[in-house]
Amino acid sequence: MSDYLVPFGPQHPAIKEPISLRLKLSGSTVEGVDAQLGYIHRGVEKIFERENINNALYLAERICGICSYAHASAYTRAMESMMHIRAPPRVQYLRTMFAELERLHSHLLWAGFMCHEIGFETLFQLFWREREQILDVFERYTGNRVHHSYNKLGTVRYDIEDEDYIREQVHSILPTVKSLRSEIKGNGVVAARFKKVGPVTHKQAIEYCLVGPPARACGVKNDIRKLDPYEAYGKTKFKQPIYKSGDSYARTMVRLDEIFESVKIIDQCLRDMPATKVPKHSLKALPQGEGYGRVEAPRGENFHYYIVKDSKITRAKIRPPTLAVFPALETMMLGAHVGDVPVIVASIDPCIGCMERITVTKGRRTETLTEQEFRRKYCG
Amino acid sequence: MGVIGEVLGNLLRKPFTRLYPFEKEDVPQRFRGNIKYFSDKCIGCRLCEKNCPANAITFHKKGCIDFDMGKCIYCGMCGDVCPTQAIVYTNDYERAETSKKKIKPIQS
Repeated sequence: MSDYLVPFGPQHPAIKEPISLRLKLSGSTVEGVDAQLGYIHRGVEKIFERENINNALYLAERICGICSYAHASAYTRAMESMMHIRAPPRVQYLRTMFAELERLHSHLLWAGFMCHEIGFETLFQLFWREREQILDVFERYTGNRVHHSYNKLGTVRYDIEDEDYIREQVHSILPTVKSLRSEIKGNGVVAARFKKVGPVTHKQAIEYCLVGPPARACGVKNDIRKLDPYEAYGKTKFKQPIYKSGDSYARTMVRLDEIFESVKIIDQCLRDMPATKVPKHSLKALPQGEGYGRVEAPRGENFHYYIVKDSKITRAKIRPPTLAVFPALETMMLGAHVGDVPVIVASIDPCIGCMERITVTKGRRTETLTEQEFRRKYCG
Repeated sequence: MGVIGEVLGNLLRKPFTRLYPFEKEDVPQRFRGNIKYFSDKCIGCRLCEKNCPANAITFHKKGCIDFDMGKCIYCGMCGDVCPTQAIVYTNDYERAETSKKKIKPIQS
């Protein structure tokens, strides 16, 4: 029997994107969660329709601001699988390297954000300062800090000239990240706020089909880079960090460990990259058919599916990582203290802008519909 | 040691931040800032208009192209496809204006 119904969001200082959670509380314990979405629905899948496949790449990139390269990679993988083309080896290594650089910057951003949630502003600033080094690499080689526009179908836009700069910048963050990781590991306050907060069991993780770091924190090995190697991941050696406890602490440690693995992958890419030329023009054949691509974004598995007719997209389906992790949020929150709700929401690294789908709100009633149901009910 | 060592180390470091707008940062060569359009180099092939993902380019005639910089997403496609380099990206990143009409490409 719940005592209170407390609204959490859509405008709330603890969350950076509009998401509304109605928390059923008994005392200060969460007994139920009612998530309401639809505040930043942009209809991206609809905008994809009738887009030329060369131009839609830039739209795919703009689905998310933080994992923009992951969306571009998934898009190029889908299109290249449809056209049965494979990028040359140097391009594959370059793409792998930039995907890992993005994982570095995303995890550093998230680690800072997680510390900000528990009020540890010093760590927040220190993590974000290190992130700037990675963004400098992006700006220098791709021309932009966030939306890189680096991929093209079958190739990449620019080659890299001086590899030492990347090596230097990436290794310069390691000593600080190591000391910050040991701080998170040893600090009693951090442990009190993270440990046993929002736990998910191994069985629940499989039932909910969790992806990415939240799943690896429960002991589920589901790294797409290992399961379905794409680009140059098959040729590189790295570990996937696995933790058993499944709580916010495990999710934090998985991501912090992944930072070190990413640096290893970047080093291997720079070492093994063949010194060939990057081809300039990409497409020759008239594309038609369907293709899908999945990549391991910093937040988990990112899936893109497209149907193309006469080089125009007729149907797009995108499953970003947050869409897969979101249903498990209620399980994580049940029995939690109300003060831990921001930490739990932050611990899944939510990207609400990525995952918004059609939601119809009429009066006080909200329903989520498929496209066909929506057309039958509201467009007929 | 952890964060305490890091914090004490910062006492002796230079500030990481800059006093913008008094100190400006050098942007890298590949940076995609404001567009520069050379109307004398334009051959009127309309490739930029066809390839713009944001439909920000309107072609009138050879040497006369409208760029809607409010729509532009700075992807760099127009500069890439231009066969005569009539469209190039400059390093100008200070794009905040008080009126929509002032957001313009650099004409040459």
